[in-house]
Amino acid sequence: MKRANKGTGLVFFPAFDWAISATHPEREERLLYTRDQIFEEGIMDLPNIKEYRAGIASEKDVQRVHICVPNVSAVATESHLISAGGAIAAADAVLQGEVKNAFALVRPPGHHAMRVVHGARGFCNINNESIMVEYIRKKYGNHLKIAFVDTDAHHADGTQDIYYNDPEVLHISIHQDGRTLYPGTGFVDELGGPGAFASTLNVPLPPNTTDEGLHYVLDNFVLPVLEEFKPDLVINAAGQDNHYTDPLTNMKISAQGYAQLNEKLKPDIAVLQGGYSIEGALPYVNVGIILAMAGIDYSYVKEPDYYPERRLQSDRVTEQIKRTVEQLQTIWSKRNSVDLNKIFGKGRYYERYRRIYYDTDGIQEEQKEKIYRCSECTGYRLITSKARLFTGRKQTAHIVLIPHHACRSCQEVGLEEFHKLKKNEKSDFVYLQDSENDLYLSNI
Amino acid sequence: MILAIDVGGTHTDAVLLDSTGVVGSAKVPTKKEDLLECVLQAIDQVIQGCPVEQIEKVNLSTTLTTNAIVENKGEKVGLFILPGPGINPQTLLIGEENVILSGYIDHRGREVAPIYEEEIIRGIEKLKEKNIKYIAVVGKFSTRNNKHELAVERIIRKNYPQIEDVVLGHTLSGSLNFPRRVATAYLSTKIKKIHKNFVYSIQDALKIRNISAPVYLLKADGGTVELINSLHKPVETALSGPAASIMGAISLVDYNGTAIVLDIGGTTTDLAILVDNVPLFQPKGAIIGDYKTLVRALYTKSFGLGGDSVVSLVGDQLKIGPERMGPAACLGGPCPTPTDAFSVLNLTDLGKRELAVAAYQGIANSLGLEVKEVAEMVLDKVKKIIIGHINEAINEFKDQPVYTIHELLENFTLNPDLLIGIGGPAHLIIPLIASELNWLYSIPKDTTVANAIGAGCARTTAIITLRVDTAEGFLSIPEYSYRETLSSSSRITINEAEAMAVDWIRKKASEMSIPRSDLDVEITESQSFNVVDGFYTVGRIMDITAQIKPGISSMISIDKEAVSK
Ligand SMILES: [Zn+2]
Ligand SMILES: [Zn+2]
Repeated sequence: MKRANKGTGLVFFPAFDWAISATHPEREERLLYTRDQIFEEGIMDLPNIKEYRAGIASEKDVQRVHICVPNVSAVATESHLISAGGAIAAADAVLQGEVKNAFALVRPPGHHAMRVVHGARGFCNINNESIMVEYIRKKYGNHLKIAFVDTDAHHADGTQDIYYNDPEVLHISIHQDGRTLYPGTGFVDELGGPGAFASTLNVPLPPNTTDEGLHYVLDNFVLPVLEEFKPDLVINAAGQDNHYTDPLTNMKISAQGYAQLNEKLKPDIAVLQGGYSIEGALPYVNVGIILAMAGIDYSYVKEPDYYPERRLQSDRVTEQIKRTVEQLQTIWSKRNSVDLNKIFGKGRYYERYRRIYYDTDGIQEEQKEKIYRCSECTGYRLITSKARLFTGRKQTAHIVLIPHHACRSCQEVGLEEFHKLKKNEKSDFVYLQDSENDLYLSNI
Repeated sequence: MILAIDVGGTHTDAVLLDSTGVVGSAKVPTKKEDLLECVLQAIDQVIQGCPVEQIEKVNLSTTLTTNAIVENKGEKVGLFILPGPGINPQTLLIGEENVILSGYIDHRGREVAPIYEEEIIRGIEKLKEKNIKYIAVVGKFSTRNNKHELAVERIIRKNYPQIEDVVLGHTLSGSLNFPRRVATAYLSTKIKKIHKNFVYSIQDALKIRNISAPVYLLKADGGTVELINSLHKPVETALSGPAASIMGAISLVDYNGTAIVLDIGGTTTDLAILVDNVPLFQPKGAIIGDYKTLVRALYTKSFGLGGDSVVSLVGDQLKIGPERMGPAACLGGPCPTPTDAFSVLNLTDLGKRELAVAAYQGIANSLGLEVKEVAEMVLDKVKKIIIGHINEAINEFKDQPVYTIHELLENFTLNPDLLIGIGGPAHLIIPLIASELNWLYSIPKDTTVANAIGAGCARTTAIITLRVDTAEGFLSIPEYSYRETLSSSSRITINEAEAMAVDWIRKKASEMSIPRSDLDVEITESQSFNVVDGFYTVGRIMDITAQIKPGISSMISIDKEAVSK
């Protein structure tokens, strides 16, 4: 893999002709003022910035990540495929050695979309950044170690779910505490499945956390963890709803704080997620991120109502963050000596049961999952997903997942299970997603 | 009749055109140090025996402003900038004296921080010390609200009445791009005096010759501007040379399809693209010398390959260009060139073939090949280089980022299948390339004076940018410093806004005395957004750009080479 030592790729796709609905936060206007600022700053003219055109993700690209019920076109429109295609364009620019790093400034977002998709949740239909990562692993080598650092104010429950049992993908989500914000998850004790313990990490932050608190987490936890994990690629899910002007959250991050984070984290690829303060935050935060990625002085990027004291946070907030970080440091340092049987039981299968609510589309999903605890690999997985749609219609999907680097036996058993389900569950949807063989089968 | 003059790098051409085509032409060598002199020489030659009262219009394409910019000539400029937050403003300080002011306007045209008179007066003192009398004032987002630029100008004029000129950034273009706005304003200010002197000299010289017809200058966008109107934005007349050659191709060849124009000279080739006889534009604006500007310009791609390019051997590889050492060897030049390769292969009877053979002998010996084999290799390489550039140009447009789903799915591609060749070596090189690509080709008859013909046929162009923001309550056209307050109940629709833009440009056209038949108005951009506050729609933002397209004046109908598929 040849890598460039300079240049920043920018995929800007504001989807000026697409909205969830006319006055929804995910509407045409969302990146209008960001465009104004980027264009007026002459960003695209800078010698170390190269603008790329977004592409369109294929059905196959989506199926490497998701089980869309009943199929891809039922849950993803062109806008979603282009958002994922924009992330893929950014990845290609970096991995083909044309630029050192790249920013996919695209919408709509994707980090709340889980592996099984019945519709939209948290404004997300398909997971643009995971579709990008699976594309990278397919095209540039499935041995690559990848780290996500999600800095959106909401817990990245979708991406976490997709990489829940994958030890080669580290997923760190830094977000406003789930007790005070959608989706209500992302606590310190969510650490991933039996095959990938502690490659899921969550840093819940109290409301009113400022740049100071965010950088404390970065310096004392995130950067040291990355240092040890040694990823081949760092991906920043660059949601900007943690800004002090965001209407949906209670965080207090500034454009300077965000740009400094980027400078420290040095992501290879950044992908925009949320961020709904479309005038007060996005124009400045995005310019800050782009300049930081390109190694250009960003010290003059400031919101109109910014003053340096915005960095200050209450002692109570500081103390709480310190405690959380301490807890996480302990978990991380002891991750290899933990007795997994104590957490996941001694059975041949680990089972979990979940209820998932799709706020955007009003869907209720119940999921039962069995993970085979294989000694050779992370094990095949069986999922039964029952959804009740907004219209009252019910749909059930039976899914077999075969992971990357699955052992021969898990591949064979998984395939047998799929054929059995296909025969027995004629009235339901049945799917096989085989990551090891890049295979996707269904009974439709 | 139209009198047209094109000042080129080596020659200055003048043609007289009547409604059916060229009725007289003249060629004189270009004197870089005295462009006025060679323009007048060419005029005097071409109008010999012509009743000057029959001249209805004079169109002129000169390299005056381009040269001034490239050679960094002109007046010292005092630059006042209002950068607001963003990129470090130190990178924009291109004036001979620079003053950074603290006031600023945001993306919606709202004043975020006011200007302070003391800052401006302090800046003026610095300018007075250096005796700088040409001033440019440029604000970030001044196209959204010109209030600060206007106020700074007032304060400067009040406190420094001795100044010669003040140029305001928002009057130069309606596009967003602050660094380019700064560069465009700086260049416009810098070359103002040079340009003004030229304009007055031309006026005087024509008066002496009893030519009273209106005079127009060709602009980079392939359109013309009346001499007197060019005084405001002289920078627009830079890069008119490539524009002249493109307009020449359009005036001599008629093709409904996509064509590549190659203007092949001695040293360089300029590539342009036509779609249904309309040239494509440079997406963000012209690059003039080292400056990226907001000057509207036709798309051209220049590369260092021409008939006289030096052919040399680097290791065992042939290298062509980018330099020229003189004419082709067959015409007595010092080294082998592509033209000599044609001569060796008996594809031209230009000059002496034995000189061309002798020039290639050295390379042939080093490679252990026959001279003819080397000549074949040279032509092969020429083909490869040119086709490479053609493909690059096509991909540049294909890969152009787009910002709507509609445009992305539309998947714009250029599928050219015609080559139009202009310039001396065109008749040798163009057929080779066309046969390799399996395209049609056309080499117009008057190709050696095509640029002058192009300048003569060009019509006047104009552009306006209209912004409506009903939530902020204004409608503005920055290029004309127009701003109107809208009441909060305003319900202007996108169709009404478009109609308004078209009306405006028509009104401007009649002020510029553009004949009705040359009024090809089009909307080039139209966007509309709902502005939502909380959960309520509180207004609309609309951005509309309308232009009078570049094209051939209705005064002329030259018999074109019709090319059909
Ligand atoms: Zn979010
Ligand atoms: Zn296994």
